[in-house]
Amino acid sequence: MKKTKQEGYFIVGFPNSVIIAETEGTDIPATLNNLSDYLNLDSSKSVYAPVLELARVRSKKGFLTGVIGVSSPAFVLHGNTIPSPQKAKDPQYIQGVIKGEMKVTDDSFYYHALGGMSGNPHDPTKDPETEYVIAGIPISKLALIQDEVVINGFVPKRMECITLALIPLVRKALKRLGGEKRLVVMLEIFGDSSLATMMTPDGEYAFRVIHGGDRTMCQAIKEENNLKDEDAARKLLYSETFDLSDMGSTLIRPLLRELSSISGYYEVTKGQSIGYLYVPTLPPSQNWIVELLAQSMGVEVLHIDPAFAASECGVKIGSSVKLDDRDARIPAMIALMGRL
Amino acid sequence: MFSLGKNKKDGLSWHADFRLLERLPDTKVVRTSFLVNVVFCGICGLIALVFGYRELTTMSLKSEMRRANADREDRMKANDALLESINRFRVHANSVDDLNRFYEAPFDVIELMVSLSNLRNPEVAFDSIKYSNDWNPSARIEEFVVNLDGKGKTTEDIIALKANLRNLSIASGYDLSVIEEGNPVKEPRSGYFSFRIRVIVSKKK
Repeated sequence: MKKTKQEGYFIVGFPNSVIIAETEGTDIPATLNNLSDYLNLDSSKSVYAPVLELARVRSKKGFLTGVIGVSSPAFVLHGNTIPSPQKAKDPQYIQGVIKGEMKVTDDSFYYHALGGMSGNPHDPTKDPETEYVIAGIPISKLALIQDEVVINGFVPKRMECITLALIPLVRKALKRLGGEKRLVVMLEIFGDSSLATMMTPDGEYAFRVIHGGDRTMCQAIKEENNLKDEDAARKLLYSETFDLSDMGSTLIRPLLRELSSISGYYEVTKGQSIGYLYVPTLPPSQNWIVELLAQSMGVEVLHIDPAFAASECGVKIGSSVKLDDRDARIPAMIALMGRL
Repeated sequence: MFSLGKNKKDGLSWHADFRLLERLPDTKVVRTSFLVNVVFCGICGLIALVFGYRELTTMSLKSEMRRANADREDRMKANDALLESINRFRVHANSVDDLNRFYEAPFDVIELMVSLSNLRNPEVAFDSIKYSNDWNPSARIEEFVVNLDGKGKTTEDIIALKANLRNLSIASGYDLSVIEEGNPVKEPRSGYFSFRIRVIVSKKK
């Protein structure tokens, strides 16, 4: 008897949207059979609510299993260089960085330390890399995220920080472009804050949390248009028909101010100019914000072609799947499904 | 101390797993521990069944042995009685055989004895007359033998007896041999001559 292929699901949860990929199994690199995208503009509802709807339809058990990538301000990231290979072999070094440079005081902090070039787990006993990336999260916040996912009918086989999954793909895209400007800022826009990940193609990183995000823009719209609540403002912001371009500079001002500040500092530190901006958290309807930000910063928007991303990550795209080249969230999904 | 996350699968670079495993719901329909328990319970049940079957078999065999022992004891008693009866029979069987052999003779032995007595003269006395029938293997014939031990006043009396014995009328139609075993010996005290004569009667070949 021919064995039926096992269904798998890959989900990326962004602050205001979720993308669900249906695949054959959950091993990576995966084969993409279907992709669906759900925008959530109701702050009272979970962004993962469409997953529960899908689980009710697709699963007799009432839940789906698979891999989830989360873009959340709860993750704390840090990247740096260990001064010497000897120090890299110190088993207490990473913990010292978490307490010292990352200023984490809460002991219930769950983290992964990865080699900056390879992305393999940092192991002080096995000739570790001096470049490193630490991604951590307070366990209480991680529990909230996981519980929200589980309550919405998804039992993860792996739960990833999408920032980490995207790093090698963005580096590849940057290398592909070549040129003199070799720095990129990946900006994940959350509610009240955003995470700027600045990187070189060679595996050097700087992570900065900046004030200002989706909610900041919604508040500006609300004030400018005398709206009653933020949800109404959000609907306007994410509307594809309502033109907000005339108040664009007002919307992005708080975000741009801090972004310019930290990117300027990073450019000075590295002695190179930032050439690209990549925002993986916004749907295509918000591309104008990204373009405005890039224009204001004097950089280009980094477009990662889904076909290129799939090719680099080893992901196969089903013949019936049409991917939107303008959607910057799709490379994040491909990075989650692939292996680099 | 911070909690260091570990990837379940090696080689998944940049794919760090942040799940809190202890908070995840149990989605397995059947737990491995349950399956292990089922297997072990099955094995235990099988062992119990085998042990029980063996115990039952043993009990059945013991019961059969008890019945067989009782039967053996009963049969032993009957056998002992039979053996005793056989022993008794054997004691008498020899006499019966002797009698059978006695009567197997083709002539009347008692009449033979009487005839022998009539063949002697008054000066001859028989001390003993022994009768036997023996198989002569070399001649392959049955011989009816009478051993006569006795005394005669003179040797002529003994010679006359021997001559008379050769004309034993009852042995007519049979081969008759009269053999004197040794010469007559004079007994000093009585002055008589003792003799031993053997009379052999056999069927003619």
